[in-house]
Amino acid sequence: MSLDLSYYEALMGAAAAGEQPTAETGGVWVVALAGRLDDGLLRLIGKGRVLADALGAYVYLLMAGDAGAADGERAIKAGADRVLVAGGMPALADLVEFFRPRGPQVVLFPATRSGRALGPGLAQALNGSLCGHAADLEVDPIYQRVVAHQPVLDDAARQRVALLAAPAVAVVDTTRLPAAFNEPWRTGTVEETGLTWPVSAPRPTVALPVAPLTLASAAVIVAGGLGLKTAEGFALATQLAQALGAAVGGDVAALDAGWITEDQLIGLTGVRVAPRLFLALGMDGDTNLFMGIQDAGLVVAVQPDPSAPIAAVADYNIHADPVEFARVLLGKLRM
Amino acid sequence: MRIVVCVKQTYDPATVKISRSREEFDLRGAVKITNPADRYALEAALRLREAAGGEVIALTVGDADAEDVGREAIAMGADRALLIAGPELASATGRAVARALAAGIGHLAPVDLVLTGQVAAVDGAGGLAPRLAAALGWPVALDVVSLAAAADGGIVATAAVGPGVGEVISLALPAVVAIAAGIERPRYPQPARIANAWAPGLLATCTAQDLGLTAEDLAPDVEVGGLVLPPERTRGQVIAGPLATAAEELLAALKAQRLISAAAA
Repeated sequence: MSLDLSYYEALMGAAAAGEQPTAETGGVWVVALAGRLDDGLLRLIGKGRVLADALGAYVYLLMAGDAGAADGERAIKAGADRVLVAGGMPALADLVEFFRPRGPQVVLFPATRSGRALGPGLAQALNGSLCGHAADLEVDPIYQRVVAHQPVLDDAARQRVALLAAPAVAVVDTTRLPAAFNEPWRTGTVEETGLTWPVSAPRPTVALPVAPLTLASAAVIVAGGLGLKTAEGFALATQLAQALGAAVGGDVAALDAGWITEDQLIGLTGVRVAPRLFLALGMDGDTNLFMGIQDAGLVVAVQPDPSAPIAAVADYNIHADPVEFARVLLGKLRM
Repeated sequence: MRIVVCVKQTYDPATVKISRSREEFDLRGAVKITNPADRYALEAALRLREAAGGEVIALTVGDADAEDVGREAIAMGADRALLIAGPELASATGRAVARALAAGIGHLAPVDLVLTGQVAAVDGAGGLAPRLAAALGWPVALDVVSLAAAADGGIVATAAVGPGVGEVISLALPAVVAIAAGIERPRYPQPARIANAWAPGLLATCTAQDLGLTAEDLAPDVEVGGLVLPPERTRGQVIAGPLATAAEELLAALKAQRLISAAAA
């Protein structure tokens, strides 16, 4: 699977030949620490495959924990060339000892608790480079180096971070990666490393206080207005909020109707909110409301009138009876 | 117990804008503050000092502006501060910062406990504590929301592992602990302490050379490039069709944008 570099070598001289990865060192490594391979890890292997194809390298999977043989096969279908199976849970010193002679080019960790602790430590111990919070990865076609995309300002944008020193270590939020490959034609090997690391005893857990959901801190807000017609209609908004883990608010009309309390009033005269999703049910919208939601991320408006002021403000409009739509949406969410 | 709290200066995320045309941060009008998570780390250190006694030292790396962060830490209650400053450190990347902090901790020896904030405000990076632990060869605990001194001379840390669930971790000292923003709200500096924060002798400054760091130690490990921007916002889109189809289309769009969890729909 080595890359054909004959044209490149002719162009660049013999120097390029020395940079070719060999089967013994280099390569793109994915570290699975939790035993069973979940969908996120298969996505990460797929991302490793894409990087390795661009770099001309192999994809290795270090599978610690007590994974079965079936997991090795799934990893190969998802893009791994060689799966190395080990037992137990490595500490940082174990991983450093494992990786130092192998000289990996790229090491990818999932952003699990253990991945977040071991990935940066490995980078520091091997004098590598790190992106500790990556949402995506690509290979810079000119410099042949790995570039991580790091979410900044609460994912308002992603910053390109080029990883200069080898190994390039990235701790990747696997939920943001594209779907995993599942290609039966792929081939690879599953090998036992013979290594068994000690497993630490599970730690005791305690209950922690949970901060109450407030309009100011909620990531999702469901708000209702006069279009919900009755208190029963507004109750649907409350149920939707429960299903979505959202806070409930309303406009002045809802306050006057007695459906919400004063601290649930959204707008310039009430609370100014900045959720990532604002779902407005039966609200026509006015300046008071728009000032209150100007920092909101995505605004979805459900109300029947296409010429209502909120129709131009909302990202998505559904021109329908809000009570009927809330009922249908609730049904879909509870399915 | 000697506790070192690593604090860093960052831009207030509320004042950082994104320039779409230049695909980079627009820092005009951006204000420099102490990283919010680091204030939680300082609060945890102050509470531990109140319970178990000892000394709290704020440690920061940066340019001369970073002195403000050290002064603010003293105003909040730190006993003293050490600023590792220099032009080459102002743009230092994670690996160099971890090495500089490790050298600073060596300079402040004997140190029992090092606390850091869990995440950086603007870029969301969270690798400092494990990097520092690797550089020092100490154990590390992440996502910790509260600390207590243990009877055996170590500490007991409570780490948040899920909503409302904490895990109790016993650590032998010395150790590195990353504190997550959570239960123990950072205190406001008292006016008298603010006034005294500029008293002579509380904040020491040294350079990377003083700590024996070479240019090779401070070489960058990453190169920060431009921003990748999401598609521009289009308002006024209409989802038409029968209610059931519209609801499904809406849920699919929300799921694709990660606004609701896949489990919810």
